[in-house]
Amino acid sequence: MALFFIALETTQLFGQDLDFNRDVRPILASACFRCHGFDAKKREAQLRLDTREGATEKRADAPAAILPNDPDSSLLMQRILSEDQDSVMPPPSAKRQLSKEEKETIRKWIAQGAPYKQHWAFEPLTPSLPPKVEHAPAHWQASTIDRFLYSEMSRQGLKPQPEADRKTLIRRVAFTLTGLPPTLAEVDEFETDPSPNAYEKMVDRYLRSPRFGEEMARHWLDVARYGDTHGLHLDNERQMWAYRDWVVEAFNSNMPYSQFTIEQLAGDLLPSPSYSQLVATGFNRCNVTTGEGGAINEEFLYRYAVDRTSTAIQAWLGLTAGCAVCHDHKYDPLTMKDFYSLYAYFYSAADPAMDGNVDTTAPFQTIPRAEQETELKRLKALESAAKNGLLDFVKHRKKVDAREVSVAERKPVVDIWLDDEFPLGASQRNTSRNAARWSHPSDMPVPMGVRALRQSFGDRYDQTISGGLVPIQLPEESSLELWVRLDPLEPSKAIYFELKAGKVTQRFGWANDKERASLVNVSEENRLGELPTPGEWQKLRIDLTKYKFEAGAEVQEIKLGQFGGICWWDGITCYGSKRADNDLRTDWKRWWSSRKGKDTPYAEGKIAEAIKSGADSEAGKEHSESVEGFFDAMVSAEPSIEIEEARARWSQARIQVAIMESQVAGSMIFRDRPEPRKAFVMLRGQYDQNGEEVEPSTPDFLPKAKRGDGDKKRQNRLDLAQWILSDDLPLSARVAVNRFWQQVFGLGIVRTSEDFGTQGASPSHPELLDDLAGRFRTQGWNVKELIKELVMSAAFRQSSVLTDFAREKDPENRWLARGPRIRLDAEQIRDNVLAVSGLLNLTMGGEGAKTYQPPNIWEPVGYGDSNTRYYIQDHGSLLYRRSLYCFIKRTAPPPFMSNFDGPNREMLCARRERSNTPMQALQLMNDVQHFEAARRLAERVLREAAPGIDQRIRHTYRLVLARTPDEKEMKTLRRALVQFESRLNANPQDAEKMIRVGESLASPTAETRELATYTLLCNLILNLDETITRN
Amino acid sequence: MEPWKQIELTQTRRHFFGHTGLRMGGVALAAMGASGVAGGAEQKGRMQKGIAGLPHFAPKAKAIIYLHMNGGPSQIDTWDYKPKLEEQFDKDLPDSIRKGQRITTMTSGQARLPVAPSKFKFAQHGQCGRWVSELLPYTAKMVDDLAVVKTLHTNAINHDPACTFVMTGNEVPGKASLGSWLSYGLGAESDDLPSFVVLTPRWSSTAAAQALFTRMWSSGFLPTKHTGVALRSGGDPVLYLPNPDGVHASDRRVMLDALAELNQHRFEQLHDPEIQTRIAQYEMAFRMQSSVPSLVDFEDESAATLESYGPDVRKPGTFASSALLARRMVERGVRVVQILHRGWDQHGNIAGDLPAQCRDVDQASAALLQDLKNRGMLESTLVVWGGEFGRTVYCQGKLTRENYGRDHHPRCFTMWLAGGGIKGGVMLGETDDFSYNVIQDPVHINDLNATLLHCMGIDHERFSFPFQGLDQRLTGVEPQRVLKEILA
Repeated sequence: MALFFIALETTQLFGQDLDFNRDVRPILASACFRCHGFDAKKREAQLRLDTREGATEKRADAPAAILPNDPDSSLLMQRILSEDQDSVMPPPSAKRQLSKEEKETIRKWIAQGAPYKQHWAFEPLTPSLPPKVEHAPAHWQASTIDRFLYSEMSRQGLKPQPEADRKTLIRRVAFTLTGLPPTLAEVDEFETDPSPNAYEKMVDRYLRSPRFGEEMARHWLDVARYGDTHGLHLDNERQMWAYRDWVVEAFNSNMPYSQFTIEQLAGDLLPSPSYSQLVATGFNRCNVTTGEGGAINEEFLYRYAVDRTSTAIQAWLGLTAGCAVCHDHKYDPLTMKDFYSLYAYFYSAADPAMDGNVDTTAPFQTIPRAEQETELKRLKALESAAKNGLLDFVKHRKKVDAREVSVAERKPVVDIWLDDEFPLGASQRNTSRNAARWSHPSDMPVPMGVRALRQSFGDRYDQTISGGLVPIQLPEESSLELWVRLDPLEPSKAIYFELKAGKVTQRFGWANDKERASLVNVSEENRLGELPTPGEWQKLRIDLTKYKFEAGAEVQEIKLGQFGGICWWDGITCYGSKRADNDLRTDWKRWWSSRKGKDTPYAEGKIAEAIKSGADSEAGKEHSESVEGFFDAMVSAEPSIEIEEARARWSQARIQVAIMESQVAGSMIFRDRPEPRKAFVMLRGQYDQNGEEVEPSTPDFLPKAKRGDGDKKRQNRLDLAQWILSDDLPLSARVAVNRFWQQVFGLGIVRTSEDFGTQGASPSHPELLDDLAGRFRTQGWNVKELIKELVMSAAFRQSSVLTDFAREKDPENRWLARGPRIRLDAEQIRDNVLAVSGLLNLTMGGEGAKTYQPPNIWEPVGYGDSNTRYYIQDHGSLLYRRSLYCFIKRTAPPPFMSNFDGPNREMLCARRERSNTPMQALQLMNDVQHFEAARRLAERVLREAAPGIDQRIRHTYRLVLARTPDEKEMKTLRRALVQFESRLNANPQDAEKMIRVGESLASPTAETRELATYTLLCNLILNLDETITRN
Repeated sequence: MEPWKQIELTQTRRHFFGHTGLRMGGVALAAMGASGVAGGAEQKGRMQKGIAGLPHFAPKAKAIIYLHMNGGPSQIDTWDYKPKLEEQFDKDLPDSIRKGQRITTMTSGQARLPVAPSKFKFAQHGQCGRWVSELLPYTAKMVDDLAVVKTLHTNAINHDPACTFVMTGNEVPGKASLGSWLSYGLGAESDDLPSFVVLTPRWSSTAAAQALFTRMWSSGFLPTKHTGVALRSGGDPVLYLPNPDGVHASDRRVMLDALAELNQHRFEQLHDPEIQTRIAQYEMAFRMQSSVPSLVDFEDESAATLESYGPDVRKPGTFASSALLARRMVERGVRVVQILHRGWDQHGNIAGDLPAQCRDVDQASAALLQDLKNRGMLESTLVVWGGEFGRTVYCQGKLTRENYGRDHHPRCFTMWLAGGGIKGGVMLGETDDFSYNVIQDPVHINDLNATLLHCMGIDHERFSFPFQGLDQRLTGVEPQRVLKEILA
């Protein structure tokens, strides 16, 4: 590709009105390069036209294809003008033919010396002074952006629009910077601010808002393909929301884009990386993964690396590397070897091919906050001390001779099987495949201890507990008590408890009828009662003597299960008249022999060895006393009071640690295996067809990464990230600036913001793009500063009125002779109605919220065994969280997103569409979220506005659109209101129904018919085109 | 959508308005409940246009109904009759047949790969004498209308990539689905229903069923409005279709009239054509509120028709009711109906689960063909039946004469096609005696899709969309062939 660069030197010949990249390359690229281009394998007649060398090379049997300055003698010209079917080019069979104008362009270009130029995006950034625009209105002369824009629009014969009014402006700015509408107070503040820099002050207020980071993050998360599930096959839940929150925080703290880049691509390779830098590497874990049985590991390791490579290259460099997976890129100078050399940076990933369908697929990093980390350290020290205290204590205790306690004297038994934690050393597994969750219902304490086992699932769910340090044996005349609480909003259909002790297994259920009991495989005889009342703790009893359980039988396994819903379990306690004679916990020697050959949890070192090898062994004889001590401390059913107290201290300390650990978030992170995998060019993109071996390295056609230590060191992702940011590489800054521009103006300077290659669009304002990109890079990659510059421009502040001339001349608003007017994005549409109705919950971060979703979005597609097959909706304020924080299941994304062009996050998306469909109309009219918001908005208006139809309508308009309606609008709205009113007066029962839509309750003081009437009016106003548009 | 393309579309929509005027107030209200579309038949199909230049040539089929048997039906127990396997019972699959080809990690660890002949009886049917298993007695009666292709093969060996491949022509997520391509290219002939509709009926096999993925009906890189609309068997047939509790259609009418006035007022100030599009989309939404419920209401079907689909037809969410719905939608101008029936992943218990799966679909599939035929619609409706791959001749798990399981097999499997553009009573391709390798006329998934496009009047090589630096095609970059042998 060195030839490519030499070719650049010929550009001085380049004519004033003919630009190779703008005028000639697109013709050659689409009509010629397919057979005479970069891909040597497809090259015909050994002629390449994509380099000047190739095109002007003297050919064996004929003159060169192009003789610069001499079109008439150039073979190329002769062939494209030929009328002979056999020699004309492109051949008559080709789909792409040349027009007369195109042929003329080529002729002119050859006449001008056939200057080649590298594809514009690979050229270095060229600084240029903004043009003088003396005829422009004064406010268009101030900023660089406006001067570039004005100059170009004048050339197109367009004139800018005047500045939009303040009401329109503040709403435009608020949505652009925060994704939310302005509040009334914000509108008033801005409107009444007499200072000349009122607009700037308003912009600054929004830039400082934490909502800014949320709005910015939303766009980046499309690029990063962030989702809350693994995405393939079972599509089980994954824990990566800390990464999503990292992105929000990065924008809020105005992290330089350079650091933003390095931490995501290579945070793990920084010296002693912080938790936050590790979480940032989650960018490279956002790809979809599988845990599908039967899948071939090598295939998926390969695919993940391909995905990560393509995504990084596209996200930062705007290059579509995907083509080069199977063959040399046909249009861009990216060879397969280039691609796989980039792939080599990612191929040594430490994460497994199979994600195991768990939510914590390794590498998984727990990320305690500073205070949590300190506290956890302290609690762990306490726990360790308490345990050692217990073990030390028995060394000095007065021994109680077991024989002195006769069987007859033994007291009634109370054994707690489950409280606050699983039995020590027990193994447990459950249907979700994820760790069990312990918590307490938010509205009431737990009956025993400090927390309860919380189980939530849409289908049948089993929690199985078996084994453990302390053997459990049934006492004489045994019975069980269990505490249970069903969630009042999501009650289970049936619950069960199963006990396997000795040779007997019995499953007991509680359900309202036989059919529901059968959902958890409980027979009618073993249905012990109806479901407990939801919302209350209830004690369930089982008399075990009725079910063939024998005293002394050892408990091997218990199961706690349910069908659907959310259920808490607590304080499972076994009662009996006295201990069974054979109870191992009362006889340390028999207990010891029962442990022979087994590992005993919590036993360490010599004691562990002694227990395992038995009393007769050498170790056993030597440490017999220690074993007895261990038994007394850990196992004995009849400990002394002191031991009992020491055990309790340890138990409390243990639970404190567990509680703290359960509060610490975690996230899947990226890092490399200790030993790199060998990477190869994969022939034809087949995972099992190794070609040439490759080392991590950057593509040949771009400036190479600088190497610090004599080219010896193997390159890593940190080198890659630094290369991406290096001064020699013009793409990164252009791509980033363009994406932010697109966010603000609705359309990138390069329209195809995802593709800066030769097949992508050319920039509408190349000098402006280079100017912005150059300053962005040299001025510290300052994102807030850039965004501020964009929204401060006169171009952004124009009215969005579309003149007939402009519509004809510039339908898509490339020349920005009017303000941007674009439909709100999916998240903004939902957040808008939550905000104006007062429902919005502004809590930041944390696991994905499950908001309203129609039934049968997940269920019909979910794999039978998936833990995201059934959607269990959240309730209360969680329903109204910002859309950014809503749970995204990638194989069935929430309809409020997909219906409005939100991507499903399976792959990078740098640009969303803005479709306009009837399905959207249905959602905005009928979705419970939108109708409930209308009702809440109506309540708000009735509460806040002065009485009277007009005042109320005006207030609604102010809340929703930041403006008041004109007389024509008032007339329409009044008429509609009267019609709604008379309809509901005739059908008051319908009004009753309307005000019950949604889970939030209508104010008890609201007048039903009035509220319903205004609900319909608000529903109407929330459906206006203007409402769902950034005007 | 690309804004500059949207402009082009707006022109069409403006034309629509010019022609019919904004249907507001009494006009649209009067149309409610009526089965036809207000404004008369000549406006039908105005709102969902295809792209210019399509179809490339006169299509044989105007609509397609794709019956996707998700999980991978066993070809050996249904269509690919292998009498010689009897003598191979429990013998090892010969190396000469396997040829070292990769198999999934579910059976690659098995000590043996013992041959499991089908336990089901086969007989010849129809004038063409097609061999069909006893599991498909109703479909067997229709064999003279079917083109049976026994030599489909695919690149993928696991469900997720294989499903993605069969529906989008690529194993990696992100491409456009077949239905979306057709919706994009051809539009719909209905103003009241979407161009591409998806149904996901329930199924009977007891083993955990494989997942579906919305990417199987996603528009991928095509404009999102071409994403298949999933008609739902439970609750509302279309998302957000019914008005909220207490809201009456007349309230909606009042609201839409006011909304149109206010939006129109706004349009007069700003002249943004998107506003007019939105007005039209609200009107279509309103029409869907009455057209969809009448679509899913089978009251107007004759007893004989209902009976032909079998007793399940009256239960919403069954394959039978989905099949009848498919016919009703095609009748109303829907371009693509895709029914994805799950549960065909018989790693074990073929004896129990496979007959149950076949019972789910057999009678209704045959009835659908007959019903279309009776109405003269079969010649313009293409019907396809098949899964994402086949199943192995060797047994997975325990092998007995009575029961066995089969692993995934991508190297050959059977599909059938019927209706518009397809020759009935033919068979294409031959597999070896083990139904393991193709020995004659291999048919790649992309060949199949090229053929489906051909029947719809589209040259697959000229049907592309620029994305990620490539002219993306449903049928991929390699040359594919249209299966001329099975064309009418």
